[in-house]
Amino acid sequence: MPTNIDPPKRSSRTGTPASNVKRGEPGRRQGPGDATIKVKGQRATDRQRQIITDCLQEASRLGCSRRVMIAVVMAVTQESNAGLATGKTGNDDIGLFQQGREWISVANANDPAKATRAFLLGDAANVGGTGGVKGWKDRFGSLKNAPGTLNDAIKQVQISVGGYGPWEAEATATVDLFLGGRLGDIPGVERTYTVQYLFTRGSHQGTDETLESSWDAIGRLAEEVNFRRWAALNTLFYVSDEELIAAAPSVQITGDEGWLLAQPSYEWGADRVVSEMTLRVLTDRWGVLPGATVYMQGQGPLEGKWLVRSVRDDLWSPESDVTLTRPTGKRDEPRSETRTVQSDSTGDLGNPLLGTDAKDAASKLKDICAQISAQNRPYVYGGGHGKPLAQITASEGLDCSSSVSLALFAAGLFGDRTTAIVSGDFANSYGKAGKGDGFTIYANGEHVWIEFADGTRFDTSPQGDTSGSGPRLRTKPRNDQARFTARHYPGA
Amino acid sequence: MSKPTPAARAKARRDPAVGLPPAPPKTERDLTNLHLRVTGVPYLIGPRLRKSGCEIELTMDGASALRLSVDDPDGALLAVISDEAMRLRDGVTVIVDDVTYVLRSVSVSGDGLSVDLAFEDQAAWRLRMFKKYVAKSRARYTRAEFVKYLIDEAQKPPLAKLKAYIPELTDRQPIARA
Repeated sequence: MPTNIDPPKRSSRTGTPASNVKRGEPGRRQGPGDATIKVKGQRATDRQRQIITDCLQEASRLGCSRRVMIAVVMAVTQESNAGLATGKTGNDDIGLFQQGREWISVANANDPAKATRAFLLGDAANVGGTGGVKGWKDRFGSLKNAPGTLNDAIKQVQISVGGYGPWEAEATATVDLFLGGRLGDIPGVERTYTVQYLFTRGSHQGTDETLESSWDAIGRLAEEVNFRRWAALNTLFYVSDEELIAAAPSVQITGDEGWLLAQPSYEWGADRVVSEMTLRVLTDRWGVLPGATVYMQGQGPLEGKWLVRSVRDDLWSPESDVTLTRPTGKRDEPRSETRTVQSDSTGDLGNPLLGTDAKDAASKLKDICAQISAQNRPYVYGGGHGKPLAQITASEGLDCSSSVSLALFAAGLFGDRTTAIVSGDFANSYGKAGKGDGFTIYANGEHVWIEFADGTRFDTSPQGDTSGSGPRLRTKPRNDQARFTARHYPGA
Repeated sequence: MSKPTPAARAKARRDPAVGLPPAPPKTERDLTNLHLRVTGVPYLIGPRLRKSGCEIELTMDGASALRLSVDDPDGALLAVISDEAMRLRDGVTVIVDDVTYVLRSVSVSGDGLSVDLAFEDQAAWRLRMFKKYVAKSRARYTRAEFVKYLIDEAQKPPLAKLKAYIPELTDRQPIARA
């Protein structure tokens, strides 16, 4: 959670198991919590979407890799158009995966979970088949393995002529949405799932200025595990301190070298290890690059191996400042996240709830806005974008859309989104259209802000208010609402 | 870039700077002959460099940076480099110590008589060009291999090769426990 912001409280309500819930009506309205998926190039119906989701739930429960999950979707797409064509073909093949009696019983052939289990585990699925078949795990040794092309792999399992390949791209998109928790929910159902950690660059949303570049992504990936990422001498370096310090030192420094113009400067405390120091050297006698190792000998608290952190010199001066640093350790890989999502019981998935009751929404949001306002963050265009909202620090500058995103996220009013969206996306898809009772989001392609029922607003733009720019709770109202699209949290 | 073998990494630890790019040349800098390259056309700026505000920093904390302060009383230099679309597309470059730096930002002094040019290492500038959403599974890639994937994307023809040093390419980190 962001520093100094109280975390949203999760609801303790339990939902009805998915298998006992009446499915949504065909063509139900999609909300910002859902994402469109395609089956054979066409937008998926609710039934297809539900079948694919259930198949992937089972695959995920069995521990399949992402690639094997993609194969599951490809197979069910080709074999039965994801549930729309499950009639008998061949000798006795029926159901979602067009499986014969040796695989599965007739009663279970149209059950997504059981049919998927049969596809993956063969005889071991125990779903009423007469036996003697090999599922994916039997063929390839593990539900994590997917050797060769997926089309060929599925052909081996299904003992078929193929035809799965054309659906790989759309199946990949569908699985990524599933793993990102954006395949949507069934009305009235609480679903807990693991969001598998993915290495990513950026997101699907944002303008060119706010999208994360490869350079920023590599920096973020390095920071997560305490690696170093830098560019010098037209080379990209990605390496841990442990690896760097293991190298033999490039130079040994005793303190009386002719090119050392002054004794090393550093800060020292009785209970503190010296972690950084600066040397002043003759530029043309120092050829050690950042990332290399030096050894300080006979220097008291400075004794030992150091990494060269930076070398800075004035182009007209014969001297350089060299900063040395002690190495730091690597961090473990982040764990995958577990989420519980609960959809609105009316079936309107305008914005999946995370446990904040509508009647409390406005007061909770205003408290959060007041907290952010008290932090006196500066306005920074693009600030807060391209990174998880939970990792935004208390002093980090934000722009209009990231500050509104952060406030809604901290108040539990942001659905299952975890990164900031831009103002245009607020205008197009946040919550429901129109003004709310407790608060209203006003947004257009250039700006977004929140207006509360008492006339106060959470806005980065002063518009006559004296608190300066930056995300602030302001008392002076705006009078240009007509330029914006009004959106609100359902019921609030 | 080939995968570092265990033997190569052990050798790197015995012999410093093996595996790292070579040190910059020891030849003296010729600042009076310093040129900007704008869409391949050289512009001489060496004689107009100011004696303050010109520095270079190689660092582990991000992109190496070069800052130049240039006299521009007639605004001619500013006119040449003020096309932002051109800067983003082709890059305005300068070569110092055989290293290419690309212009990142321009600021004009208060009296309008000089401009401060901030450059960054070309490797960082190239990697900033790529922003499309990409996701890869941790089951198939190590973190370092995903970094290499992003670098490979940035050096697909017709783009020039991009040098990289990633000695822990195939190392898998343990996943943090609850």
